[in-house]
Order: sequence, then C-alpha cells, then structure tokens
Amino acid sequence: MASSASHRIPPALRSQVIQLYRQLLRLGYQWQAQSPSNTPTERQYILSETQRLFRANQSLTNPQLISEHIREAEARATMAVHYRNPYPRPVNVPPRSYSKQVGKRAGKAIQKQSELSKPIYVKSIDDTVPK
Amino acid sequence: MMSASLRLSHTWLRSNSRMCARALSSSSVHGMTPVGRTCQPLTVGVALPRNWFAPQIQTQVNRWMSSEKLTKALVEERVLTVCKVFDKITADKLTLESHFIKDLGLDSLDHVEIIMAIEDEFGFEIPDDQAEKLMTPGKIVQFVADHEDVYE
Repeated sequence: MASSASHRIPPALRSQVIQLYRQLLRLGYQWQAQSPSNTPTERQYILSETQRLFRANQSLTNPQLISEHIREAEARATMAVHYRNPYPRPVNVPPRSYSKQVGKRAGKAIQKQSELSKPIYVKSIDDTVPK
Repeated sequence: MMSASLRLSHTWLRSNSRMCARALSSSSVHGMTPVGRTCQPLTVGVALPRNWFAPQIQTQVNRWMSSEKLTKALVEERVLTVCKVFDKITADKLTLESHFIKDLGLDSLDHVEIIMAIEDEFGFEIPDDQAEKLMTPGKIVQFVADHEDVYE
C-alpha cells in the first residue's frame, strides 16, 4: 500500500488490513501442527501464503473487493485455528456442474452455479482444470 | 555510635544493591524467555528455507545465552542487525535516520514484518497504534529504550 494516488484505499480498511496481516504473521510464527514433525512446513505455508496473497492484492482500491478479501483472510485464519490445519478446505463441485471448459465456454448456468457455490475461504484458490 | 550507624547503613546499601542486581537479572531473564512462543530446536533433518525467517530462531538462542545488561548502544546494534537481515533492505543505505517507506522504499506490509522482527528480538509486544509511528530505526531504538528503561 504505497502512498500514491492510484493506490488509495480507505483508511479504516487500511488499518484493518495491516492489523489482519500482523495477526496472520503471529499465527504463523506461533503455529503448532497436530503432528509436531509438520510444524516447520505448516508455519512456512502460513507465512508464505499470507505474504503472497497480501502482496498480490496490494493495489486493490474497490472497498467491496477489499472487504471480501478481508473476510476471506479471517475465515481461513479461523478455520486454521479451529481444525488445526492451515491448508484450505476442499469444496465439492455442485451436482451436474462439472465441466472441463473454463469461464464463458462452460456456459452461463454452470458458470453462475460455480460462482455461487464457492464459499469465501476458497476465493483466492485457483482450481481451474489445466489444459 | 557514629561508626556503628555508618556500618549499618553500609550493610543496608550492600544488601539493597544485591536485591537490585537480582531484580535486574530476573527481569532480563524474563525478557529473554520467548513469551508465548515455543522455539523448535533446529534438528538436522529439517531444511528451513534460508530466508529471513530462520535467523529469528538464532537470535533467540543468542539472547538466552547472553546475560549482559541492555545499553543504548546494544539496542542500536540489535535493531540495525534486524534491519540488515531483512532481505528487502540494502545494508549500505541503512542508517539510524533512514525512513523505511520514503528512503528505503518499503511498503507498510514490510514495515509490519520489521516491527514483528523487533518484537521477536526484544521479547515484548508492540501495540499497533504505536507501531505505525516507528518509521525509522532511530525511533525504534528510542521506543525500545523507553520500554526497557535503558538510560545511557
């Protein structure tokens, strides 16, 4: 969030984002995995994922989009703490909506159904079928 | 009578200073224990990637081993070391007065990481509202010195 006019995000959201970043980093440093041999790997996963996603969305300016990403971060953090598992929880594809095509080629109904069925915590996870 | 009272005051001063030394050493031990953070010992089979997360475990070990009293010069040295280890800072541009965002070209997320590294190094938490004002290493040194009651 450099201080240039094009990267202007509302100040209330900005402090919330920075607070969230700090909380997630703390979560990462203090993480204890369910089986202790996995602790370094899972810590590294939490920290690198936090950094990657926050930096990727650094230049967003739309407040609604930013609050959605904030919700996603909070949801993933809460789930990680609750299930003792930092990796994202897989989500089933809704019935009769699997398609190898991506985006518009899949058809409007399937596209809308997949958008509606995805919970907030898999928002940043790209699980499109590779060609 | 005069000499007796002098002798009494002398012993009182000596025992008081011993109590002070004990209090200092216990507080420094408390400050060096990682609060709420368990430190995984580095075992041979685990390959932590060689980025700037790894040195934090090392600096915690250094803190446990050293039992010297904190001076302002030591605080400065440790703050500057933490900043130098950060991989986005070029060590030659780093001075006590270099601003993280304006001079060193970092952004606010990097600043959060630096403040977390400082918290980790000195063993106490820095609240958010005060952390966002610490924009140069000099201000961090001042804040740590105030918090740890370093007078020199």
